[in-house]
Amino acid sequence: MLEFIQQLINGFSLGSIYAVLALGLAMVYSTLGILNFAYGELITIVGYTVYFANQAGAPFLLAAGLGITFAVVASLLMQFALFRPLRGASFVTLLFASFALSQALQGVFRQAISPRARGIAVPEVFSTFVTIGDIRIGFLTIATLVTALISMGILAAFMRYSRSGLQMRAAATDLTTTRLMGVRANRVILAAFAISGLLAGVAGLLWLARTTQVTPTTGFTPILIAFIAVVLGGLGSIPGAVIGGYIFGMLEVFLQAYLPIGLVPFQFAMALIAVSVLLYLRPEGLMGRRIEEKV
Amino acid sequence: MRRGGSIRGAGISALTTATLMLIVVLPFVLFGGKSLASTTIIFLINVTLVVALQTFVGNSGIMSFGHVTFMGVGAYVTAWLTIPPAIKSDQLPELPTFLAEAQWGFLPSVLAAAVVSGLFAAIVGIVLVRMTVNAMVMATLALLLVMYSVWLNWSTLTRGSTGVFGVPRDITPFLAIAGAVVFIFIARLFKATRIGLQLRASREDELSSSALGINVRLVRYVAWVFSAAMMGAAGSLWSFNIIAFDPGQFSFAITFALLAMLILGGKESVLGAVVGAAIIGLVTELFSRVEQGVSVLGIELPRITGTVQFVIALLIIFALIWRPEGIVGRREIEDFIPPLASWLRRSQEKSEDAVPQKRTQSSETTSQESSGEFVLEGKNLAKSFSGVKALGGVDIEVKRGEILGLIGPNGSGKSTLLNLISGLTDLDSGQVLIEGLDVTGLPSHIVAQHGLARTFQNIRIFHHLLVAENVFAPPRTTSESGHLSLKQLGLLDVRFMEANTLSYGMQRRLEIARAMGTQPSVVLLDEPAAGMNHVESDVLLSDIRSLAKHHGCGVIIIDHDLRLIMRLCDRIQVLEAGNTIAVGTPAEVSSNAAVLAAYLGDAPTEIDNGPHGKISITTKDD
Repeated sequence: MLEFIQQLINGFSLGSIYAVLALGLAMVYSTLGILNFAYGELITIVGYTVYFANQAGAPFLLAAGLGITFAVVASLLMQFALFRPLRGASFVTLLFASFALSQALQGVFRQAISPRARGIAVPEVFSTFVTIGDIRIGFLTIATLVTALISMGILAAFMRYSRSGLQMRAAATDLTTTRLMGVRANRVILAAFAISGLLAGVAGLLWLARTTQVTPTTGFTPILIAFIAVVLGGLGSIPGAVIGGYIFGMLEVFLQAYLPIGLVPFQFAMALIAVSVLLYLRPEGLMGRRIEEKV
Repeated sequence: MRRGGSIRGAGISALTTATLMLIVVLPFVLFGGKSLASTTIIFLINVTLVVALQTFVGNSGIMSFGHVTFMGVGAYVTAWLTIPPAIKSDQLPELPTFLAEAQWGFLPSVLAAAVVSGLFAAIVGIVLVRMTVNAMVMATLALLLVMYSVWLNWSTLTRGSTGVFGVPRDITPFLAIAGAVVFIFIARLFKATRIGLQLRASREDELSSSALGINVRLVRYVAWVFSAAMMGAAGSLWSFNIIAFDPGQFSFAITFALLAMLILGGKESVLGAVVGAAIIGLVTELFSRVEQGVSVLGIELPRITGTVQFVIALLIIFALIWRPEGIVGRREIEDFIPPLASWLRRSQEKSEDAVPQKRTQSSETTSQESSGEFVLEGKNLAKSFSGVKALGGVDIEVKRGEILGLIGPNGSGKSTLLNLISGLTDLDSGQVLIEGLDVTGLPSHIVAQHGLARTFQNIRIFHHLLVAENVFAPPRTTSESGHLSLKQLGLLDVRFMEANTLSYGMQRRLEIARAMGTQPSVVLLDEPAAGMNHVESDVLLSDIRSLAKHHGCGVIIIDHDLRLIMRLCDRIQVLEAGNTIAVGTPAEVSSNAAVLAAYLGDAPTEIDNGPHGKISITTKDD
């Protein structure tokens, strides 16, 4: 039972990272219908920023702040350089274009920095443990949980109560009509990419605090997980992305904990198969709506 | 556009493509020395891989990130079957005996790879084709990742990340050429088959293709399995060239490279696949020299790894922005050689004229005796959309050869009624019979196969297919009925044009031709004259009348043009707010008080049934 609770907390913590990751991806998808594969590279950018800031002697918090800033800037640049010229292209074209961008950026990292891993110095407090009763939880686990919940809370409040948030929700329902109502599409789109970058920054920091290193391909696993979470939750649904993230985090932790030893290497494969089965039963995802085509 | 003719045309097209490829490739093989010959082999194997991928992606329009999995299956099957037993026992000691002792030859291994890949795809495909298109793309990505982790961890069969070696290098330049040529033929012929055509139709418009009887899931499934089998065979060829490989080779890098070739060249064209493979091959060859370090103008450039991947990525981004449909676009080789294209067309026309244009006697005639007089009966059809009652129990029936007009104000439920009948919308209650056969609740493609055809309010032709291909895609359409339909709607002269290029009025006519080609028992026309001028709609009117008479089918027509409806229809049914308020002859309906109220409000009205049967409705305000 004790172990179960411990795993539950671990799952919840990991799920929080995944939820923030997925949320960032879903922000852009729900407004523009783009699944940005290069979203993962934002995490890599956070990693390298923190690494270089550290090298230059900046304290961790400053480095973290710079990391998040750079992620936002990079996210906006992606919009200008790639998605804007491609506006109106199909889902698959955009997906593939962002896939190509991701490959190109990896090439840049490899050439400009190094193909090898760079270590990221994380404050020592992250590797300490907190004991509550019989349960021992890593400080990082708690920090992750708290940071993620706060970020999501702020975002939810922003979307719910601010005028820009309302405009973004309107754009997510129907961008064309929103424009016809006088909302500036460009502003909404930029806001979506900025928030996406912000969330990638936060999720990236949490992610890197776990892995403590950055390589040109660091962004690959996070983007896959965000993809899975978003599809699982239902493409286009923002709460769905969060739920998808938590489910996948739980699934990963519990498969890791309770799978027979021989099958542990297949953990990721099994999680994916479980997701595929879910999609088979509910093709539109958990929270997705089935859209009836007008004929 | 007869099936035989178009298959022959596809064969000639494939032959031309293959010949051109050979003209380019042969000098390298014959005089290029060892290094160029091996580059050429890699190019030819890439052609087989991309063409295999194109067979699914290009025709279905569904991006697959998972095809490299089947390449992996093909490669591992080949390794198990061909590595000499002595080496095999060393690397894979726990291999099942029959595999451990196997030492197969080149061709049997390639075929076995195709069969095993195909079988594997057949299992995966059962789940895959049930998904929506976007979910399916994601699922192919999941397939790639799942199988990558299986290759990595199922060491008994794959030796994990260490990989296997010792596949005999049985490939020669000429075997590679033969492989590429065979693949080009298979892919080009598949595209031209009825299944390939139906798949392309579903790519253009999934909904209207199933409303015309195409089983979209089935054709996707067939193409998925077929293309996976090709991919398996191509993976086998690949392994005969590379000899040693590990799971890392069936992952993202090659997936990206193959998709890049396909998209750069033009994913809807077999020629495009070949051209894409050539361009990416060239770029790879060029920049892998850079990766090795070269000197330009005496300056030694540093060795930069990852250059190839980077350059390909940039190339793709530019291509997607400037030429999203790829370099050759949708065109095949004949579209670049006008004399060849016109020769193919002429020979096709000739072969069509040679077929006696007999009046097709389809199953309608035989079932006529048993079915009574109605070709379509809808009983008590009801439908609510989240609480709003769109239809509250409407009866509708049409006799053979009868034209029934369905009119009513906007939102009265006309289109919903057609959608319920054609199985596009699930009904809440009621019953639909076609020729006395109960089709209630069946999916739209089955309803269509029982003899129902329709057109749509907003035109839903297959935009990027030829006019003739539009007409010949539905399964019930035969060479004779399709040809007749094209003729009757005046589309014979434009049949080799892309449907997209037709004028608006002609596109409407094409939609009707496509429906009539299926020799329907009953055809539903949803605002066929919308947006047409009086001259065009008059021509259409007389065409519809003669079609109904000639085919002996029932017609239900929705239109807002009352002038047209009154002159065309034998009977008129008027809907308002989801209920029938009047049924009868045009004269009865036009004098019905409830109809007048529904159309014109409560204002006093007067209908002037003019001398030539022309009807004009005027309010007192005029």
